Amino acid sequence: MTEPRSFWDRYARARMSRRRALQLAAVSGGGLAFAAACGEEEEEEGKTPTAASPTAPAEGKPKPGGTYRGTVSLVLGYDPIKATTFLTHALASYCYSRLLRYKTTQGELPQSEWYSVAPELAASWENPDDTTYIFTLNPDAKFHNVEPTMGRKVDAEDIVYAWNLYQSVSPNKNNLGSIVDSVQASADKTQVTFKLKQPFGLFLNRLASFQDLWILPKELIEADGDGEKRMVGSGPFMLDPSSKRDVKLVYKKNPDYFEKDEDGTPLPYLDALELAIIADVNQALTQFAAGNLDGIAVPPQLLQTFRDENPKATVNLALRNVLSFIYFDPRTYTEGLPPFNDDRVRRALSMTLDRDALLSVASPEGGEWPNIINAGMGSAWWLDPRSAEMGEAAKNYEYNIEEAKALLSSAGFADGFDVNMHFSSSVYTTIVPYYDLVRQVLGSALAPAGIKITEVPAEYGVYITTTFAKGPADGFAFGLESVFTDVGMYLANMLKPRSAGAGRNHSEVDDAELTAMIDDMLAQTDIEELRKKNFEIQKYVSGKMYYVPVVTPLEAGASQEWVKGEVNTSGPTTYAVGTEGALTLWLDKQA
Amino acid sequence: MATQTVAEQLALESYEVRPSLAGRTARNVWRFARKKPLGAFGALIVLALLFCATFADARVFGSSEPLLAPQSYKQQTLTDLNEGPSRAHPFGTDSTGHDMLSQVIYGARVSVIIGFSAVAIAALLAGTVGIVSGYFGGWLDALVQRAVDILIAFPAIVLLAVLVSVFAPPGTERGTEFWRAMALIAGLGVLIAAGSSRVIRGATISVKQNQYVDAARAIGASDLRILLRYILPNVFAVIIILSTVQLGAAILAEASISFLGYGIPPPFPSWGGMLSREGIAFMRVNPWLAVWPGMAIALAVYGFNMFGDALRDVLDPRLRGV
Amino acid sequence: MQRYILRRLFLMVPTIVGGTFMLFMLIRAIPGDVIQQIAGENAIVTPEVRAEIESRLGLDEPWYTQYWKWLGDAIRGDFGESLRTGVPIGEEMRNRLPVTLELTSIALVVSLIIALPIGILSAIRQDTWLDYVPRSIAIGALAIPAFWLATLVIVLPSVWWKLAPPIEYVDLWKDPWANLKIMVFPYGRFVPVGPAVILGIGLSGTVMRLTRAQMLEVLRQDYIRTAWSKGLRERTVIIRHALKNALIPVVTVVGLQLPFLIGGAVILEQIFNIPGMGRYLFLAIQGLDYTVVQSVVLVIIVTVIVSNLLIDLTYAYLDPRIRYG
Repeated sequence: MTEPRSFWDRYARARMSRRRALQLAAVSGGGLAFAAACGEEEEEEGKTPTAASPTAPAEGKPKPGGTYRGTVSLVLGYDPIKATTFLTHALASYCYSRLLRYKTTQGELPQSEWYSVAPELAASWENPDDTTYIFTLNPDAKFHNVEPTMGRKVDAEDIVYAWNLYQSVSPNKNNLGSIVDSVQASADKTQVTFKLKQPFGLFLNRLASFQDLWILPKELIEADGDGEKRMVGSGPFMLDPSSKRDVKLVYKKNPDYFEKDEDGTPLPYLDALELAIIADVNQALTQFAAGNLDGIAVPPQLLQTFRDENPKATVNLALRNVLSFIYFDPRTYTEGLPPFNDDRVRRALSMTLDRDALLSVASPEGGEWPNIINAGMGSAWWLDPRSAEMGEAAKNYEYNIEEAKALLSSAGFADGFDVNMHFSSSVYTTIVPYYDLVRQVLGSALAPAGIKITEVPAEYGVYITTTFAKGPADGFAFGLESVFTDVGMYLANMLKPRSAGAGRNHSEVDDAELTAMIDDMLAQTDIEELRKKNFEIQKYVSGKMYYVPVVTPLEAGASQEWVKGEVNTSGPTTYAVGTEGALTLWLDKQA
Repeated sequence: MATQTVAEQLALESYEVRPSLAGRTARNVWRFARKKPLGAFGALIVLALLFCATFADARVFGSSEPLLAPQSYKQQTLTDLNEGPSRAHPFGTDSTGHDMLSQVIYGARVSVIIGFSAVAIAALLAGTVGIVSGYFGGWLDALVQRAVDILIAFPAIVLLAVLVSVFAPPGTERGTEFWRAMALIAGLGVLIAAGSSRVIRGATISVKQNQYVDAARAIGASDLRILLRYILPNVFAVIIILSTVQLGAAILAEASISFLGYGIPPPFPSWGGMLSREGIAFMRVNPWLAVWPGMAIALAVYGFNMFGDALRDVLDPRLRGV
Repeated sequence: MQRYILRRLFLMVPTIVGGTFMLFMLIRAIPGDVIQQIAGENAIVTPEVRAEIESRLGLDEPWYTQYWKWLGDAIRGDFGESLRTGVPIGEEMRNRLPVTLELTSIALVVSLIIALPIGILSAIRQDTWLDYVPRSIAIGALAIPAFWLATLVIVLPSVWWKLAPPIEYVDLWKDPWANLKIMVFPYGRFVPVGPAVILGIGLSGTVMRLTRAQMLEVLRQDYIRTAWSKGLRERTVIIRHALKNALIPVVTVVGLQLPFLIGGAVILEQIFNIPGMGRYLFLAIQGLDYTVVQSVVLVIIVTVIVSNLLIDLTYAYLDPRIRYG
């Protein structure tokens, strides 16, 4: 019987300094031990063995076998091509393959390598000119040895078939469809060639996106019409027919999976993987504490209590790859509707936000300030608003009520103004609690500058289909953006005009200069040059504050002590848990 | 008043000189308290609830300064998050730095407004519908009862959730909390009325069959007169008893619907809403977040039920003297 | 009797049509955009896309055509597909309805087990401590919100003893004991704190109050006075004479609490992870899944009406004074 440490002595213990939190965020798992070993000062952090009792760099040889037990909160469907929700993409990622995936390692992956690509179905690729990519498929890749594919080899025709399927039914088809001109299989079906419409430097990253080109076999679609009834692909796991959408999904190891570890042991190590459907966070924590689950997500506010209750568990922290931001009534930009049509007002709004204070509420163990690119993309893609590189625009992020008031008064709002704030009052409140916490603080945070808020809640379904999809009816809204996995998705989706197919341009920003900058950046094939231009755009957008980014909190995943071989949870594996995350998991315990 | 009925004359004759109204009330209250200690305890809780709801802030005096509550419900101290009870915050603070005691006191207001309004509407509606339907019978009764059938069989939670989503037009002059409160009051009122109209209809039918009603009709009393002078007074006790108990049920229903996210929206605190957000999710971090609003709901519901039970014992003539 | 049943069945029609029609209109008044939902929240819904989706789903027809088509299909057992997930609704409900019916039935039994003894005791010992204390406890239990109690049941054993309820729902016919464990005994057979029990506790206050009132009324009837005056023992008077007559209305009223129980099931299924109708309904409301909400509500209304009919028939059977023409 463990007496839980009461919550208030948590505050007696030193609060984690921001610096410390950054280290936690930047590194994770084994990396944490590394940082500590190198004598990084721990500042006020007491003797409490930290925080994330880190996994020592995987010791011993992986033991194949065993069943990993995780959870998901909701199953909305099985077909990753038709789905708009990351929930479905995450489930499908155990069973289906992409041509490329995101690079992961066990332990620390430097931020500069977040969202870089690694081979999956494509064993290698070449790039003879700016608009041609030729992928050579892994010759060992086979579809699952069950009906209807019966272990057939994956060939280049399958890629072409999947591409056509994606272009005909996917709600996300523009992600690649706007770039790719044609997809062709070679005569011997071992290679597939992508011809682009114009040079696109992020093409490989985009190909690894889990919203897009999943390789679904022709037989499945021909038999069932879509991928909603079962999952049959070429991924490391096979969905077992005993799965029930509202009870538990059971994934069995695909014995013919084409990847092996360095020692030649076939992957995945696990025999099976079970995901219990648990909607209630208390239920999940209870099941974990009782040892009925091997891994769960822990809301950051609960971390300290969680560690007290589960001293042996491994906790991995990561920057959440979801942008939280304020967006305005589209008429702001289309008709010049005051007050937010004036960039001084938008900048003042941003300066009124004490982002560190918001983080202390939303993510007590640390976090970052996002730019229009979320901090969860890592330092290679995200320009830290507090870095010297941000230059002039940095002051737009600094908490400065005096300056905000001065800006407001120069814009003609010396006495401030009243404004509606739209937000979702359900679903987010349970699946991403920090959203609700930040939202609760926003009202009082903006008051000192004279911005008086009336809260306008809407049910999630209503919010998503109206406010989020079409822009707030008036005033502004506080929202969360989808999980984007490359900077192009943020910039092209949120800032290019809607007429150019930018589905996430909530406020209908239309800035010709910016559009040209984005197009220019995306056409860069030299990745270093592209990054440089990306930072230029972030600086430009920070000066305009078309959207006001709010905070990037941490998210936490926890595993039982016997779970080994976890890859870093920062960055890419956040949602594409399947191939990136589960391939190398193993359990260090007797079955 | 042209003629008085026989029954009325008899009633007048039996009238005798009694102590002053105040004295009588005091004596009745004392007798009630002695005979029904639990009922009196319930009544006390109800009074305390009303007191908190009314005087949480100085709104009745035209100001928004907090009165009973130590702080305004909007006030947040971001340096005091999830604190336990302390001198500064007797009930602690929540995850966004609100003073819990203030939140609980303000929360009484939502429970009281929604509970009382819904039940008042229900009583009015159920009284009218039940009495008219029971008294006149026939096709009117048949028609009304089908409507009641629909409401009784309809899952309340769906009706309330849908109503709340439908009423809350953004961009109207009144805030969302106003529209949601209206939706909840209307929804709960109608749902409660459906159930109790059946009981009142039954009571009406049984009163109608009494000989004094026949007598009144025989001497030419109009339907309206019979309804108002004979049926209503007899059914009134039933309405009062039903209403008291339903107040508890209405408060519980409001809390449950808020828990599911369809209640009064923030920032105005409601007990169910406090439990639905961090209250329940962060129970492991700060149990007090869940303890206070949970206890407040339980106490309020308990109070109304106990008071209602005692009232039933005292008022229902059929049970008197058993 | 047959004529009575026929008439009742006939009267079901306006109730079902009225109830579903009310919902049909209400749900369409929700200000969300279901077309956007189907197209995906990042889709730019041009008028052409909108028209295409509307015609695919028959949403471009006038509302009365839509309504009759839906109702007609539903009566034939074809509930269509979920707007949000595309899964056939009939299939889902077939799996879920028994779960919720089981949950609510056990809850009913639990409420009777708790409420009857307390109600009887507090009536025969009115205004004594034997009335106050048990009644106070029963009302206290009713006053605690079910969602709160349920969360305590999940959190406290975990915090104190690292115990957890069964993680996975098992169907009744697959393993009755495992199923009962989930519904009633999540922490072993001596600790009945499962969702069905919590739901039953919520109902027990009502049942207890009713039992008490009925007993009080019956106890002052002439035949009871006669029984007393014959010098019968208290136990004989209460059990033989009073109880039976007091319980008939109690049992019938308890049967009418089905809608209340379904409301509770929505919350408890969510917290205890039970794949029933309540959870299905709740997710559908949240996700603007009109077709699912409509179908589930239709099934609930029919279930409630049919069970009310059965109760009335039982009532007539039990109480010879009731005659139906």
